[in-house]
Amino acid sequence: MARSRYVRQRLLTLAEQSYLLKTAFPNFRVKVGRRELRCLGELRPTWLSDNYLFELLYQIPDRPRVHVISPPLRLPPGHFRLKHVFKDDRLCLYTEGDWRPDLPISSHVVPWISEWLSFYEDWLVTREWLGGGHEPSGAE
Amino acid sequence: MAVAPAVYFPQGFAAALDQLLLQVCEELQLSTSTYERAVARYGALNKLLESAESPFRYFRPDIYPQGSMALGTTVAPIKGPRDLDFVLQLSRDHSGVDPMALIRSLYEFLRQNGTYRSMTTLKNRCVRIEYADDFYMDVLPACLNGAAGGTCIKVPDCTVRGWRDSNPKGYIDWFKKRSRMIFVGRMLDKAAPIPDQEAVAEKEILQLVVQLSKRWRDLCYANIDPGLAPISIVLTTLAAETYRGERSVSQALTSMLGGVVELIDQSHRRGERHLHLCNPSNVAEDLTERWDSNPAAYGAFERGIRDFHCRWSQLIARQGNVNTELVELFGEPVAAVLKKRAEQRHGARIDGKLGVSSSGLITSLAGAAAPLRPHTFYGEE
Repeated sequence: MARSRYVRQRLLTLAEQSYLLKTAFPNFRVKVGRRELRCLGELRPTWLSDNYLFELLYQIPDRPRVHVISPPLRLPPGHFRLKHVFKDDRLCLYTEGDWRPDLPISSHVVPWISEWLSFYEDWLVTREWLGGGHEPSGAE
Repeated sequence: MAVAPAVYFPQGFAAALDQLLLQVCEELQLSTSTYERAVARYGALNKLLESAESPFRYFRPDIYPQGSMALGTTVAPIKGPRDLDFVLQLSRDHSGVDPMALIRSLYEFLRQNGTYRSMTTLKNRCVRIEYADDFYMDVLPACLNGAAGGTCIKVPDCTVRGWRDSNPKGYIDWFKKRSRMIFVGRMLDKAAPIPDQEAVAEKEILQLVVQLSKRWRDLCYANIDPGLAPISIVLTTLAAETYRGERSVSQALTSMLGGVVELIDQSHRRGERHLHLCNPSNVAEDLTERWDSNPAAYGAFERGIRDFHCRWSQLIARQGNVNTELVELFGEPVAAVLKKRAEQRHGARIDGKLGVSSSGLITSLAGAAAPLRPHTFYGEE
């Protein structure tokens, strides 16, 4: 969806984001409050992966906040920080502009969680993050 | 033939594990260039042994690969050069031949040759030719065993200063028959297992099981005492004996480990000091004779196999992320495969070819619940 310089895209409501999430991922539990959407879901990025329970919290127009709940995220020997996470271990899935509040979380952010988990599992063994990305300091 | 690095999406844990194990075996396989060098080198050696100055020229010397090279079960060593085994077979019955004179004459002939002089050493049953690069050749001189018939041969053994029984060609035939209980073609881009027989490299499940069990052996006993490790022909024979035609390498390995543990238990119940195995193509060749005089090696084998069986069963039952367990069992090639796959996945995502299913499985775009759109992982160090 090309973004026009002149036409401001309409932000998707929490109800719309919830509907789109439940349509694409019927097993997700999505609750919409007055100001916040809460999604609990399970993702298994490959058949040789664990099944991860995550929580996604979203308030318009902020960045969705994604935490992996279980199994607990681990570190490979010799590493002391996870890759591509914020200080509170929320996943850093994209840079500015990759997702906007007028775009569905279901078709952007959720697939990126799966992809993050797949590269995380490889990183535990190879000790290399092979999914690309930036590692700036002072993110967000 | 190179296989395009396409991302392939097997369905189910077992199929995904099989795909990973196949790729691990490709990593372990003799490379095409090493394979071709080995063929050229044993060809050159054969010519020398047929030449006018060769003491073997009247006995129609024939060099042929035996062991892992002939079986298509080569495994990269953890460190150091690969060893490739060849038989130098003379068309003469062993009776009337002094075994020590035979092996010494091969050794001395090569030591007199300008090319091989500095590369040749004498071993218990073979003459070793060490090349400067990545492998050495062990050449076993052999004479025919007319009494046993068929492809049975006798090979000199310096320890007993006499003959030993063997039948490498018969063993290869037996192994092939066992492995082709179910034939599963598999494209491999790295090597052709058997000379001039298969234009396209193909692997059978049993060959993969042997490769994996040998790799486990190399890793497991490197940390204990490599001298206690079971020899390759024992693992190969046990794998072939316990193979039941499974179409899946992971299932075949499960069967092998369960079967070997059962054979060990049966041997205990019979009151034997150790499991006994003979060459199925020549029962006079006792493959487990070294356990007669080395009970510590048998103890290490038994403990090792039971531990492998236990860990493998847990891995199969886990049905989840088994990367760490696979690295513990098979080592660095697993990490190398995971790295290649991750790079391919990343490339396919950049090309817009991937999506995720409703359960989060990364899959091809067709049939995905949502596409994997362009994005850049971000984050703090």
